[in-house]
Amino acid sequence: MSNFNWLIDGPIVLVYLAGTITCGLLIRRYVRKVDDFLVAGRNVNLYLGIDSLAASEFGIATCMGNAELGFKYGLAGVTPGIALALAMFVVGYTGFCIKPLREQKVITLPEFFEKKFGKRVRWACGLVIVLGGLLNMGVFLRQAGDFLSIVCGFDSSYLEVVMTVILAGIALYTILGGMLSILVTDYIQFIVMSTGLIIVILMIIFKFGWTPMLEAAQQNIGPGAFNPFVNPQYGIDRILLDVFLAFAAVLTWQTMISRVLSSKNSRTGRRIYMNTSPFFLVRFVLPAILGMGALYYFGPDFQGKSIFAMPQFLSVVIPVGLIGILVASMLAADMSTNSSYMLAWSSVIYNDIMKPVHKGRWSEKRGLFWNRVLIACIGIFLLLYGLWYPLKGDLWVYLQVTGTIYLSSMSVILIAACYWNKANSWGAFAAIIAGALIPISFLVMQEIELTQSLTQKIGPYKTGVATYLVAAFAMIAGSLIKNNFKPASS
Amino acid sequence: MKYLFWSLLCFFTIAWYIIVMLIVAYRGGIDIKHLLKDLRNENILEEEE
Repeated sequence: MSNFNWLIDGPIVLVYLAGTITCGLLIRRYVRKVDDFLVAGRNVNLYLGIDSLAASEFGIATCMGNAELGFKYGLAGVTPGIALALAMFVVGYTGFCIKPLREQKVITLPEFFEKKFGKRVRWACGLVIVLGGLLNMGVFLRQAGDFLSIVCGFDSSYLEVVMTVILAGIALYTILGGMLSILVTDYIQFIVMSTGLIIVILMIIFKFGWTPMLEAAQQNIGPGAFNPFVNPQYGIDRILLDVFLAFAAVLTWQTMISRVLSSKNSRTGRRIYMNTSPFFLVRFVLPAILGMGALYYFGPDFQGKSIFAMPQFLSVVIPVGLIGILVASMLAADMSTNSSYMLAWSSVIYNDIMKPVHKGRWSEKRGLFWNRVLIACIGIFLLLYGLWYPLKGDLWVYLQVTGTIYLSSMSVILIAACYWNKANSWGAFAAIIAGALIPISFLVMQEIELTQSLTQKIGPYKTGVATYLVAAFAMIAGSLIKNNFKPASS
Repeated sequence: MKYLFWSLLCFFTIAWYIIVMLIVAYRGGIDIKHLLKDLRNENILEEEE
């Protein structure tokens, strides 16, 4: 039974939805060129960059996944957030890779790689980025549907309708306004999302007490709730994967670097990273507190999937009126994430995979049309994949494994492209193949009955860590082999 | 205090979030205004050319 009241909370959500979509649609008249559509004419300033990056990297799926970590592992579940915040600050402060990347004035990573490794590597990178990105994003819509169904108290048979309505609203302004609409709606969504989250978190802390919640975590999870090194379900391999993934994501995740690439100059891009880095702690700490609140409220014998503990907890403890603000804030979080992700992957498809087709010669009008068609296609894919794919294990682990498909090879290739003179196309291809093959094999083997026990034995963390190491080794070996065979071309 | 590190980390995170939200709410609006103004001027210039 949910506290959501359609007469009081319903209008709050409707006003938010109508306001955001209207703003997103009004912005479309500023879009004239493909550059305006994909990188907002490279006019993004510091504060707009911060709110946009923060809003796009916090969606309902992230919130549910990270709350599940809090529910299962206590504050030890915040470890990936600490790794991400540190990685983002270090990269922003030093300008490691992102400075040369921004100075090349490219739209996507593969475009940058073409300058060093050639057209074929650009195309292959585009393909891997889209594959990893879409698989990663594929579960977002279902999580949003599940969250809203539980918090608003819908019958589960309405799940598909809820998912379709959310997607249609987001796709509408993204298709018409591109990055410009996303930036403006992200601004509104950041404020709505932050206000709702802060109110809810403070309410939960004051209602249940900070120390009692921590003690409940200690009692139910043990000392591992506060120390990932001693948590039997966490451990060193998982922490190592968190660190690898954090640096790789900060360097190459298209939705993150698109803010650097859209910034006015490389200095602004670096400042956006440095100033947004604490948000990656927020992204884990706040949901983990909600997860721990659920653990305190339900205890360890929660009936149902652990991922649903947080929304069920919120649906019963948040009062009428406030729950409307919460739903609006979570919708805000989800809309900004989905719109940014749809644009990010469509930009890679258009800019890199379709490059051999349009060869950069299409008119601005035709380019805009195809970008819009691609976003619509991604929307349809999300709907079908979200309905079809049954999530197994932790949501965050799924996001890590699918992200690794491209993060492992792209981060290795990016570092090599920026700082290793001997790197070449053979190394890049070897890294792409190694980086994609291992996590995809893991996902497929997880679904086959015969190999399920083997995947459980190895686990996703060791697989993830191995992927990064093998991709780096493949880059070095491939490059050295080519240099030995064809020293003149290198 | 038993959970000092985590309590400080969570407190810092929430406090940072509140402060940044207020700053970004104000300055982000100004950034949007400038962004749209720049784009409008660029479009006018291109049309004149």
